[in-house]
Amino acid sequence: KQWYQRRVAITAGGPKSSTCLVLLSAWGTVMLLLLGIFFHIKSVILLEDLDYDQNLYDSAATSCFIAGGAYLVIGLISFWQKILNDRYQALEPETTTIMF
Amino acid sequence: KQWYQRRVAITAGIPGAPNQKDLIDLEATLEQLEVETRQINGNQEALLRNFYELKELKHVLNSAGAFFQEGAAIEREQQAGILKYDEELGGTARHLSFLCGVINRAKIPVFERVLWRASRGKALLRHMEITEPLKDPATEEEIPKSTFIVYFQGEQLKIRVKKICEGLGATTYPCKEAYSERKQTEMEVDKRITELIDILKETHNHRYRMLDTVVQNINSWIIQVKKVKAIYYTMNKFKKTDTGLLMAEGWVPMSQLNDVDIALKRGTTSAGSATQAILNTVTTRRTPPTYHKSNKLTKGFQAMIDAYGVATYQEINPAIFTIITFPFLFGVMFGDLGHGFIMFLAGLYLVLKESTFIKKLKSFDEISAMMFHGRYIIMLNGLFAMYAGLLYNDIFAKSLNIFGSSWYPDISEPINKGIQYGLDPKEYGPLPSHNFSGHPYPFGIDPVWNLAENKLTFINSYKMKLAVILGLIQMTFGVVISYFNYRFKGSTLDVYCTFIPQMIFLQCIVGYLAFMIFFKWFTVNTHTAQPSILLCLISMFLKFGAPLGEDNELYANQHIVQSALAVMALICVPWMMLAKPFIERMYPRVRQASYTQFDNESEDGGESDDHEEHSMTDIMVHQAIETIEFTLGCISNTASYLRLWALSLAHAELSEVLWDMVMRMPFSMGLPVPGKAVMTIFVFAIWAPLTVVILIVMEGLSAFLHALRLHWVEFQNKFYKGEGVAFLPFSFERILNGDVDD
Repeated sequence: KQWYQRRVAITAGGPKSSTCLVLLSAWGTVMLLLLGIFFHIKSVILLEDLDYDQNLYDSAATSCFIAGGAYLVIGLISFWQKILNDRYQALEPETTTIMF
Repeated sequence: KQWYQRRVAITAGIPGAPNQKDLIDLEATLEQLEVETRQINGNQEALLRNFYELKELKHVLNSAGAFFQEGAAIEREQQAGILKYDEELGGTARHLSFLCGVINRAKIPVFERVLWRASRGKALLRHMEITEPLKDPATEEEIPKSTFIVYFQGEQLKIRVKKICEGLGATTYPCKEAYSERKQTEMEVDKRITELIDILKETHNHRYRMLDTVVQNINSWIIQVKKVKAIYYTMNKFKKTDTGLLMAEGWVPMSQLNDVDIALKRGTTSAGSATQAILNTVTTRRTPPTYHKSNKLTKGFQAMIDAYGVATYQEINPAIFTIITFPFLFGVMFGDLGHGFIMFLAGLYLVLKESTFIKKLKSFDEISAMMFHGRYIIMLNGLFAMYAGLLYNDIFAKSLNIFGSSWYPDISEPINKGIQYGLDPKEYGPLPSHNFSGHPYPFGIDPVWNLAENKLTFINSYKMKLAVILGLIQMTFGVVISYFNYRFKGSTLDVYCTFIPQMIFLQCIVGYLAFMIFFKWFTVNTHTAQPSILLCLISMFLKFGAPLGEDNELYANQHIVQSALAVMALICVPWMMLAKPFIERMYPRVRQASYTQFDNESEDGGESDDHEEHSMTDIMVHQAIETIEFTLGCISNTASYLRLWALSLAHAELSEVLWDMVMRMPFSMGLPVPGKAVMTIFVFAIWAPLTVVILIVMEGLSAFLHALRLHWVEFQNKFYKGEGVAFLPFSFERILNGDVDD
């Protein structure tokens, strides 16, 4: 009973939401990192996104890298939450399903 | 410990079908369990009833106190002469009699009314709600009840009141007026209540333990019963011969005749029977069921084809081609490297984890189960979508410049918004000083188009022409498959009267269209006005034989070539419609091979007899319908393939709008870097789920559906009959999964 109470206190979300957050953060990290690199090398394709102002490339690149880093942190936190969730889920008894 | 034991029991394997003795034992066990359960339930109900009665009595005793105080007040008033009484009472005891008990709260108004009428106003009802919820012992639902007390005078009234109470389902309880006696009864009742609570707990535990033992076995019992039932059901299909043997006829794949023989021998020895089970092949003219061997990869595609119609016996199975053509067409309609990659990863995850998922398959809901069964389809779809995305050069609405663009704008100042630069390909040369390098982008569409205003004008034309070409290829392939079907059947009549005219017709019209597309792509026309391919095609029929004029023709003497093709196509129509019926009429024996080798349900070969119903008119009508279907289908199906363009356009536009409206926000506003970074974090968290839900799931389903339609209709109506019956052998697995109704 004790660990059950402890589980409610520690994990912020259930197994589904922590998995979603892990996947979203993984995608966010990779994609924002790449987007940051593309902004950094001043790719012409992204000119439309900057409202045709060429001076904004560097600030866009920096903010993408920062956002990517933030997603990395969020990803690690939610991965830790996911591990906790899996551990607690493994301890819970399985209920019988009757197959009709 | 308990749940751990339960867990072990479940992971044990599926039990085998029980034999006679085990079945009898099982029946006895189940009967005994039933008797015990009924008994326990009955006991519990009786105990509960007792328990609630005691509780009600306790409440009555409690509220009696309050009632009596009121009653005493009434008596005092009587003695004070405020109340009048009837002369009937005379000098007998003026003390009011009473009855107390418990009644459903809902019935109180009725009770009051009936009492008032029956006693002519001389009975007094007082009631108090019972706050503790009391349950009906049989149904365990809560019924709100109230205690009541009725004051009256005289024996007659007492009888009437009792009858009313009975009628309304109110239970009366004996209650003494004196406080001390009530107190004593209350103490006794309390004691009995506590005793009963203990007994009820015991009963509850006993029932729980008994059911717990059942839980361990119930799944295996259900499986055993289902298996035995299936076995007996199948055995009922056997016939009993005169010599006391059981005989049955069925279908067996020829490749597995040996295996069946071995299994029969095994069964005979394990059943300990003296006589051998014999397997004989029997010749029949019945059409066998269709059996396609499939493995985990092909099963999904086979299911997609079978959903439209199971292949006729020994017809070419289109599923084998679908394994590649379906994902390919899906990719053409989906066409984004990023979305395709995500879909590919999803499919890959399902495939890599398939052994874990197979075990949990029963607990899946229908949609998840369907997604799991289609895991290879999803993975291949994603893969081909990535390939198409590379060709369209589209990743999340942006283009990748991998090889270096072949275009360069001729400007000296930085690019500004609102100014248009036209890049002219006519004078080409080395890049910085020319607009176009002269060498096209090696693989896919040049990334410069992503920034071009007239992007859609170019891309639409390209995708539409691509759609027509792909459609022609698939339709021609379909017609070729029909040739192989005819050849297998040995029906040369069909080859000459159906396949050849169909092929010529298709190629003369749609094949010529594809030729013009390629021709226009490969030639550079120096005229200012480019000839329109569609106008050429239309004038092929509507302006038959007339020269097209220099501005409208792709090559010299185009009108002669087109007229010749039109004539050839038109000749094919009566060829398709009339040749086969007339030849069949003149040479009836030729007819046999063109119909199926097997007739349904006829035992001997009736060559002339059972084709009686195929009279001349029937054949002509049938042939006319097929001809019209094919000729009109050539045009309409080709146009139908344009959905390849339409869906990819929709996908590209949706993707672009999503990026422009959502993901562009942090970069296009003039925020400082910290604000930009925070906004990027939030905007991505909005953009990503929207991408998944709208662009991957919704568009994915849409592209899946349309690719499937293209296969079912436009591809398969060139060759597929699909009139077969699936081969469904006896299988415990299918029965236990509930796929078969027995």
